[in-house]
Amino acid sequence: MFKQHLAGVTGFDAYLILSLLIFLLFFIGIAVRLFFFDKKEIEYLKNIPLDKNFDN
Amino acid sequence: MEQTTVLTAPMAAKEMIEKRVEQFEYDNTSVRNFGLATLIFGLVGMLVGLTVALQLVFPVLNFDLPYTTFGRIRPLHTNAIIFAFVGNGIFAGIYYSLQRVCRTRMYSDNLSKIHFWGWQLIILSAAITLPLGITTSKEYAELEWPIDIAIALIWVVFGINLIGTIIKRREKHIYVAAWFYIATFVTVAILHIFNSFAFPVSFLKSYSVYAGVQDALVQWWYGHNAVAFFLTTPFLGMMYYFLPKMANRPIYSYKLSILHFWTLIFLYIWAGPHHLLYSSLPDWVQSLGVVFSVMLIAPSWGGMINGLLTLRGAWDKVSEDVTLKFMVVSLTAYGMATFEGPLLSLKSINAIAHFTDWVVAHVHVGALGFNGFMLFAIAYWLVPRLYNTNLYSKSLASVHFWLGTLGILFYAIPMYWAGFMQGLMWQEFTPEGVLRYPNFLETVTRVIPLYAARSVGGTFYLAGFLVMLYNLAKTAQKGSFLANEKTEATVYTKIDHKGEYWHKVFENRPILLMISSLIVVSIGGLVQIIPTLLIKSNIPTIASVQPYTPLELEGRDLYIKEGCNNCHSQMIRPFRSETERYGTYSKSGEYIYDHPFLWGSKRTGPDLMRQGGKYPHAWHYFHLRESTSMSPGSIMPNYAWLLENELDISNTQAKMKVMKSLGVPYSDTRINNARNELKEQADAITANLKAEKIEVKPDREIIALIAYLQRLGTDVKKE
Repeated sequence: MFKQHLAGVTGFDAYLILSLLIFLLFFIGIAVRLFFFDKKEIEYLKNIPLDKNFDN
Repeated sequence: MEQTTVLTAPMAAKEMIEKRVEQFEYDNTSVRNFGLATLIFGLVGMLVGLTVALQLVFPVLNFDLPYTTFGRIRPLHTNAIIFAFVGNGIFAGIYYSLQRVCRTRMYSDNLSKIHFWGWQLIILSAAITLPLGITTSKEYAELEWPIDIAIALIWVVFGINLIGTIIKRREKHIYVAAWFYIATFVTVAILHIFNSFAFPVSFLKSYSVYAGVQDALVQWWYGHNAVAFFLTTPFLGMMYYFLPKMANRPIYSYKLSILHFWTLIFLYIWAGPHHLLYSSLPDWVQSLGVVFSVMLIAPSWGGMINGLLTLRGAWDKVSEDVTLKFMVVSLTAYGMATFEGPLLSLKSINAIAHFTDWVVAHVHVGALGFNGFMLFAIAYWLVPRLYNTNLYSKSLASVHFWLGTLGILFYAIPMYWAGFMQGLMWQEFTPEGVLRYPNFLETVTRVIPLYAARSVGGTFYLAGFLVMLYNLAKTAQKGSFLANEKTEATVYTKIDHKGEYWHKVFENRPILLMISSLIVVSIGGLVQIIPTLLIKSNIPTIASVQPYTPLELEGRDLYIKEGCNNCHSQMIRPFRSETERYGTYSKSGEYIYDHPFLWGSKRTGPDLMRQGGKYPHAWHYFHLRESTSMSPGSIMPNYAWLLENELDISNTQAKMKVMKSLGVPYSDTRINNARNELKEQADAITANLKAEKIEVKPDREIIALIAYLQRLGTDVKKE
């Protein structure tokens, strides 16, 4: 659509690829971080709203 | 106030752990105040909503008054629901949950008060200015510049109070709910500031610094992310606090909450351009919007699934506990809306759905279902706790639940039907190759019964809300308000060999979180918007496109004032069905002098992009005075006051000067001569009307509006 622009606006494919690449790296980064998350800490964090951590 | 029990134990040679029990009080007054404002403005917003819905069925309900016409009060409805009802609701939820997950009182009682009263004053100023027609025309950002500045200031007050509370917390970790609140604060601040850049003409009038395509892109970058960061992230944050409390069990997966938090805030910011598919926006930006919108389904459903799975093994509770019922429907509605969003962003579906009531249905599944029901769940859970009592009536709450649920269905189904039907009618051709419904009005009259059905749905929803108000008032009456809730928290402090508290490391975390959120949400904006700003030089300029004349400029401001853009688009998509109906499709070069853009997002009336020259002046005169005189069956309000009101030209030159500073090529000579030029054009229109036996003074508002309408889309015809 709108070939009239696109003819004049070149090189923007790179933005699409770049955007997806940035996201992929970002996602992998978080996934890796989560994989190594300490289980005890997760249990603790989960229970913050329930006051269970403070029953001692 | 503070009781300290010191139990020091050796950890390592040079480390000690100090354990203290601190007593303090939670501030419930701010929570109650914001909660009360939520209920009051919820009622107002819904009443206005029902009124605008009924206006489409019974145009007489426009009351032939400028202040009550659809174009002016539809923004009042959206602003009241988003900023007054939902806004106060999220503040109530945040103020309650944040104190508890941080185990501390809010950072500053004074800031809480300034935040509360400042926000209510902003709402009040919106309620006054919008019916007066003081508007920027940009959707969900209609308020004029002084109010915009006030919003920014109060938002910063909220931000300081939020971050300050997190910094002074007693809980060493920052619970995920607070992450969502931090992202909300940071992103809304950026969106609001960048979208509100405007050049003031006078105290209550300004022009957007962006024009045409750029303005549209920035507006929908804002608009879409207002949905994301005002209507979604704070609600997910509240879900992560209130759902575990209601179900008395921790969230299903904390890891999932982190994963979907970061992916959600990363992806959302890119999705804005899906509001502008098939428009004059460059294709690559549209494609980017579509791709990221489709990807958004994953983190959105991640949140919904995390919420619903929290109830695994506890579904029996749902049948007994009304707060959980509301919560489950809320999350289901969230899941539906976030599944539908990506679908609507697909070009083939968008081609049918855009500009129709399908989008209205989509939005209301989110607003009535997700936002409304979650706020109701929280209200039923919170009010008894704030008033130290039990809910007055569980059965009334159940009645509300069913009225609300049926209300959503009765609202959404007719609107989906209307949208789908009308979208297809606009595209339908006869075997001979001509439009089957060449008269736009015919496609409108066919959906009016569905508008009526939608009003029934809205009435159900409102009735349920009234039942809730009664129930909560009775609950408050039988309890006593707990303004300051006494509590205590155990604080562990590790003292290292330097004698510094490691707690300090965490104190830096909210700032770190804030900066990380800022970076994550900025990436999308930067990649999309910066190149689009560069496009300015790439927009194929159209030599025949010229700035508006002074009279047309004034007419355009009347178009904005009356909110015509709420029902009329100025964007012809490149479909045969649209070019057959309206004329040549819109090109980006046609909008370069449009501060702000007026593409619109909904066609309750036809597109006006190529309105110029389509009908004689006299047709517009009669049509604006009484729409049904020219279009029998039309549901457009009558604008008889335009015939009476004298056109205010005191700012015409100032307006042109501002336009000039924004890059519109008005010469100084032309600006100095503006009043003569305006008068000349007005006289010519008046003379033309006189020839049609219409007596009207040349200095009336209607002349300016006719001048503008007759100019629309004509420049390219001169080529």
